[in-house]
Amino acid sequence: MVKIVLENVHVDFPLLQQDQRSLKRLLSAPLKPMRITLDPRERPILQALKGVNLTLSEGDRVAVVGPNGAGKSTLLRVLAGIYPPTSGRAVIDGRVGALLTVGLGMRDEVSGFDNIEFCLLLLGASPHDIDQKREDIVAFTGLGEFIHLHVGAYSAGMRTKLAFAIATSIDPQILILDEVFGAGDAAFVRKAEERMIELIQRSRILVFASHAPALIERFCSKAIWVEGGLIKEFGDVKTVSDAYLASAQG
Amino acid sequence: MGPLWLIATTAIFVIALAFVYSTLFKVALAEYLPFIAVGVVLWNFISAICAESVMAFVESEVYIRQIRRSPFVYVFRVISRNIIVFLNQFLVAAAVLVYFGGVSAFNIFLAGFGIALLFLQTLWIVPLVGLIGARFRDLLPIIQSALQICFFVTPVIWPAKALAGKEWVALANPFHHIIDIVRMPLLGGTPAFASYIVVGVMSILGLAAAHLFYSRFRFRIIYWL
Repeated sequence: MVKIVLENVHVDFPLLQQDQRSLKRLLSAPLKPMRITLDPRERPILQALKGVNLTLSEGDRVAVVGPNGAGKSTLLRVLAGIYPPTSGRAVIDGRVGALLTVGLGMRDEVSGFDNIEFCLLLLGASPHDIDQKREDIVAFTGLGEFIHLHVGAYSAGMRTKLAFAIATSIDPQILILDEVFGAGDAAFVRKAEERMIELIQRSRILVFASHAPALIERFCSKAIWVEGGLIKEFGDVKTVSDAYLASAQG
Repeated sequence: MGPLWLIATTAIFVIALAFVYSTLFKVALAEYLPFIAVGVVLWNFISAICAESVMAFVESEVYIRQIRRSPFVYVFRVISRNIIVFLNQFLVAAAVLVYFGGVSAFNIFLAGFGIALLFLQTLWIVPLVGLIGARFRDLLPIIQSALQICFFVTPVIWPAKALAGKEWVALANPFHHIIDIVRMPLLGGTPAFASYIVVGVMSILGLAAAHLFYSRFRFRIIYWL
């Protein structure tokens, strides 16, 4: 059973680079949501998440909305198992695929062909699937013989295509998506969208952070509104998204 | 071309050093060149491991932030990279040894055992130093200057017996023992039993400390980056 359970999850970032004096100034200023504070040993911390409870189960298609700095990315990374909660519990049952950036692990000095293998292994693909996936990736990118050229010589568009194709070739049970995938020429965008939809359909749980209401309502059935490190609302996508937009404009 | 440069620079360094220091120390080149060739290659490995382990997690920040993987992946990244470099540089030492008469099968076995013990040390040095290095960013210059001092006080390019009466300087130095258990057999000798004890104790303590630190702090790494 694929599921994610967060129980009273806190994530505190130690502010190691903060200089004491400027921090004091920060603390004395009347900040609205007080998220920069001191931990029990009086070291400055930023409370990115302040006690999040959340249960996602099979079939959930969840959008994450909220203003910048609300804790969206942190929440996504907790759900992906990247940030272990500083307190509370995060249970993640299922193979996670997190697409938070495009082009992770891409190396300029090696050919596209070899990059595919390295990136796939990094993303957790099993070695048996690599040849088959590679064929699919090469076909999708339409790079042809360029695939044997080192990536440093690629144009920006070619590189994006390759990175996108690699990232979307995974088949995770839990798919975590951060905003945007795009670029390339117009024909590619249409193909990219189809591929993205296929990827989303392959997954059992989708968590998708985006600022685009149209995309959210298209892919998701539920939405989480994050603000000030807390979940403000969790429910039907239309209701939550509209409430968020209303508050953002008002 | 990459590996060739590694080999070439090591060869040039070793030969140049051997030429000058064999004159300074008034030792025959046939005796000194194998000694220094093996010593320098071993030292290069040890110092590279110590220095690069500081950055083990820091240099992998992009990966650690984007993907869920055991932090030990990044430890092995440093270790495997340096073992490859070591094996390349070791060709220089091997060539010198063959040129000056070769090594007996038993001594090759002993040296192989020594190299295995040397590699074992990386399993605690890299995670331990890597953790500290991720938390305290000023560790790198500290380690670098410490390594420079160690290079001069450790019998790498000078023989321990030249200490005449102050042997404790070498005996108290763990670097000396770890180098000796590989170098001695390759030069036709047998390492002191004490060296194996020192390396053995160091491995146990080191692995224990690394295990303790790693299991306590592995989940903090990402917050320190």
